[in-house]
Amino acid sequence: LDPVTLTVVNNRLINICRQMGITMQKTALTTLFNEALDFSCVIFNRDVELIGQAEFIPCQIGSAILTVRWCIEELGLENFKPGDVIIHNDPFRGGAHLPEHTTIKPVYFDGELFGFACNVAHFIDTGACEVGGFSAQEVYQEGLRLPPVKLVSEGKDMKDIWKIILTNHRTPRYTIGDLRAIIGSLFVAERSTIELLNDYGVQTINQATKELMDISEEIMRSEIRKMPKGEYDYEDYMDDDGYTDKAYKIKVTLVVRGDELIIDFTGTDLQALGPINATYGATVGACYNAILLVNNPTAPINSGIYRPIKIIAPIGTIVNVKHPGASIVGSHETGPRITGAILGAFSKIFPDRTAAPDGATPFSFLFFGEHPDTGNKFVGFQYEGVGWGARKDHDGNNSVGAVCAARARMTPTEVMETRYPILVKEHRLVQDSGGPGTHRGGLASTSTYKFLAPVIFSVFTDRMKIKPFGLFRGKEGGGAKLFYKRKGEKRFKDAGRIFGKKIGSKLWGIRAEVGDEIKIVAPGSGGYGDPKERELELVLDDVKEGFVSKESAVKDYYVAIKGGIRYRIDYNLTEQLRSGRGGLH
Amino acid sequence: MGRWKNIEIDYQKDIENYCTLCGAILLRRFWVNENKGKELNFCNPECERLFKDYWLPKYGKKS
Repeated sequence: LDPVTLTVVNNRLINICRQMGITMQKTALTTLFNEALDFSCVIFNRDVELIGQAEFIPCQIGSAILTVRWCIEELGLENFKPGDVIIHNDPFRGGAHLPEHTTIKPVYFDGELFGFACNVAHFIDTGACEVGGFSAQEVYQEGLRLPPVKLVSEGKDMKDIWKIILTNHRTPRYTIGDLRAIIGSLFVAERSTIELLNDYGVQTINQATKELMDISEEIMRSEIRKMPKGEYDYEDYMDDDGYTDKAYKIKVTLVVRGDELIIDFTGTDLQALGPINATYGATVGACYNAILLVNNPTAPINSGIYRPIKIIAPIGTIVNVKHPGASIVGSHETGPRITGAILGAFSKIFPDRTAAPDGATPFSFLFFGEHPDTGNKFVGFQYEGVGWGARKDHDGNNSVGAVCAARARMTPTEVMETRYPILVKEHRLVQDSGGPGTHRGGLASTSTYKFLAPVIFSVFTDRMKIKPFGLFRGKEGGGAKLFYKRKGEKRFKDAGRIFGKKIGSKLWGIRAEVGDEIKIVAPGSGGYGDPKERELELVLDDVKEGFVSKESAVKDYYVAIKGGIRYRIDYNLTEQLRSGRGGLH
Repeated sequence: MGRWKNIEIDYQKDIENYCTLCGAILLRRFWVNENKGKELNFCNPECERLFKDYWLPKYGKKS
């Protein structure tokens, strides 16, 4: 087919996914969807090859490829009918983690199955042992686990399935609202796909998507051919699993062989008792995310681009949990670290393309209670923005979602205060949290929340002990912190100590009273290149903006700043510092 | 010579059938071959190829 037709078809498929996303955002009930945008929409052909995706959550899209395939394999293609909607959230059937609910709708054209519309959405509550399910030691404690079942059959709700789901969730009113939004997005995708097939004919669309996948495959193979043959490894460590004060190693080896790339996790630590284990689906999503970050950004994103990639994730490790191990945070805590470890290995191949590691955690803060104004039960999920790592030619971005869930964003202050009995007392960037470097790591943000009603909350993060490292003599960024202040107390204290936990980054099922406050400090990110080579004016600007303290300017950048209100560079002292003659070194 | 194998999912049992190479869960249809008299399951012939020309030479003696 001609390039114009291929481009138009590719863009139409992308736009169908975007339409699904807008439908979801505008009609869902929970803030995790209409504000935080924690969902992804994709289109598959009848051979379960991904043919369309848009700007959603990278780790969800990667796992969707497996989830949908396994879903169809289990149910059998012959059992699908027009008007069906299938739901599925089993981590041991391809899912990234249990809260991620995959729904798919077969799309028929002229009586023949063309493909599937798919929506992957992260539910806040799944009926786990406490909100968040962070204490889970096995999958059975993580909430209601659904194998692929029909939620809608030939256009009719399967009421028994709805009853089971709604009975198991803490806030069924939210669940029904969100499920209706999901189903609406699938109907939008079905209608738009049929319009596309009417415009071009099914034969042309099948031919176009096949050619687009072949083009993407060839672009990826040519990228791999540019890499020097060999093996490149890297290791990173998770702080702990919430139960044992032991770091968990993620070991990755990139093996470049001609035009294929093997991502081998052999040597990674055995799975943990706590829920940091990644499922195979989560690991695949994290790998695809890393690959797309450093390779040709012009390739159409479809199944073809992933064909030259092979992933080896030994079973029973923290990158491929064995049944019935817990994995409820493996996708959003360990997943970003898997991406970071792969980028660390890629930095040996493409130093110019690779960023230093990000904060790599959503700093999940979940809360459940009854709103005093309405008497309705509510459940909420708030992220905190981390720093993105510096690159060869740029500082990192400030206060954004972890790279692995890049599109996810914080719920705005106004919405938090309107929807929940929570007062946002503070939200700002964290000074000195960006790792020093020729290019500085992005800064994290911090928030302080005051509870205006009794609430049960859970918090899960990492990078409290093992901070985001720097690249090429860049320095590490700031780590995560968590503080708590009971009503009437004057000062914040370490949250772990207050609640009698030796691991202060992972708390679950805690009752907050009216007037209590929690202070969340997210991790920053790594710097890139020697901080001593950072331009003096950039350091001055950082101090003026409050991104870098005067103390850090001297200690990390060897730049002396004078003045209390109107900052200026002290060139004489700076020259002494940078030449090694200064008294401070 | 390998062959495709189809099984029915037994809901009375945990799903614990994994690809020998990549670790992916195998549900109803997978590729089977023998190595030293032992039946090995794979996602597809591609996984078997990599098992033989990458995994075994690198890790085979240790396992």
